[in-house]
Amino acid sequence: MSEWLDLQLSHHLAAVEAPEGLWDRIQSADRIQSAAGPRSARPRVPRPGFNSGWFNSGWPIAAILTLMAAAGTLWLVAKGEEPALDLRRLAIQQLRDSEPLELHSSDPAEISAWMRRAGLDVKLPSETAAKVRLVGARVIERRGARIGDTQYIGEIRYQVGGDTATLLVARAGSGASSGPDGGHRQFAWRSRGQSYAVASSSPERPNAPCLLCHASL
Amino acid sequence: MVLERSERELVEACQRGERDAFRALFEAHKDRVYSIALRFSGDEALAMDLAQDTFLKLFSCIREFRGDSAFSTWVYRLVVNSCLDHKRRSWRLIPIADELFAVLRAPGDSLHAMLETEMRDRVRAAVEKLTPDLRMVTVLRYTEGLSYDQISEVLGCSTGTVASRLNRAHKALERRLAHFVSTQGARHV
Repeated sequence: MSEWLDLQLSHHLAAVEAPEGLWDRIQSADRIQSAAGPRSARPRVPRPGFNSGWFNSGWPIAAILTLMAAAGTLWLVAKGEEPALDLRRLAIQQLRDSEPLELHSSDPAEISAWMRRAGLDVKLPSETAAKVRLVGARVIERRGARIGDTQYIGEIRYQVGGDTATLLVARAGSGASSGPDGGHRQFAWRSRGQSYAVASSSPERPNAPCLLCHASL
Repeated sequence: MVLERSERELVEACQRGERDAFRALFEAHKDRVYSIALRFSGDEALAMDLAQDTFLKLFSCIREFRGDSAFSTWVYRLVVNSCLDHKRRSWRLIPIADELFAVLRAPGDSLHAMLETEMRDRVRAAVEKLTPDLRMVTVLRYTEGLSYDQISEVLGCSTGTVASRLNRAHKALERRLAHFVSTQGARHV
């Protein structure tokens, strides 16, 4: 590299002082007084456009979605197609004892491409709710009862505010049943030959799993 | 533990939710966060958004900081993620208007200042055309003066990857600024 370019970059990309108004903006966006107050050990800072009033207004929608998911599950059971209940249990297990990710990325396209190598076709939404951040992915290997009977399950991990949420994807067809697990929010469903389960570690946010796919709850 | 005691105490105070500590931590890191956001985005308004987003994340997630790495590294990761997560803009009408007004406002005899402005704009425009990965490495290197090892820790990649990205960034920038290198290279405008 030329010395000229080195000098130009150092000069024109030099650090600057932050504008005076930045703190005020953060305060107004965040209402930090309540976040830093003694009533909450963890400062919870809503992002702009995601204040508590707006959040509360999303509850009826989340409730409707929950009912729809439950109705869908009942319909599948009635049709004799068992939803991916084992995946749901596994999703909760991943939240409790999370393993290190194999791919750290916030790019949905990169994660989808990476998952395809494991034979999983995962189309992640390019836009999610403001509080949701894609963290990365890993593949879980589960051995079946027979030799060579190995199933690959993709785990996609998200950060929802200060909490973790996980989305599991597997090729449909293995479904061992298990009951729901209390204390966690989770859904499971099946689509186009694949089973899915989402779970969130946040008992305070019942719609957190929904936020992984729905940007505007 | 990598933290200085004073900063560690500050972080612990923030983790307990002490309001003054948040302000002190903000003051300590605001220039660093804003500089990276500005140099990465090339836009002051967007840099303010990114800096705000970074500090909101910092305040909401500070209890997750365990002190396994330097606090500054953690802050760098937050701002890097904010920048990389942000969608790139398709249109940049305001900066173009700004440049036009800057030229109109420039005094006729300030040739050197105009050349300086021209060079600054060309260099920054060339940096903005880099892919996000290459641009971020360049910003961390030249805006913050981080070493290869520090950049690799912030980005979570190997030192070799950092060196490779910087090398590709330099080549791309030299290619885009080749005209200026040949005509003004000796002047160091």
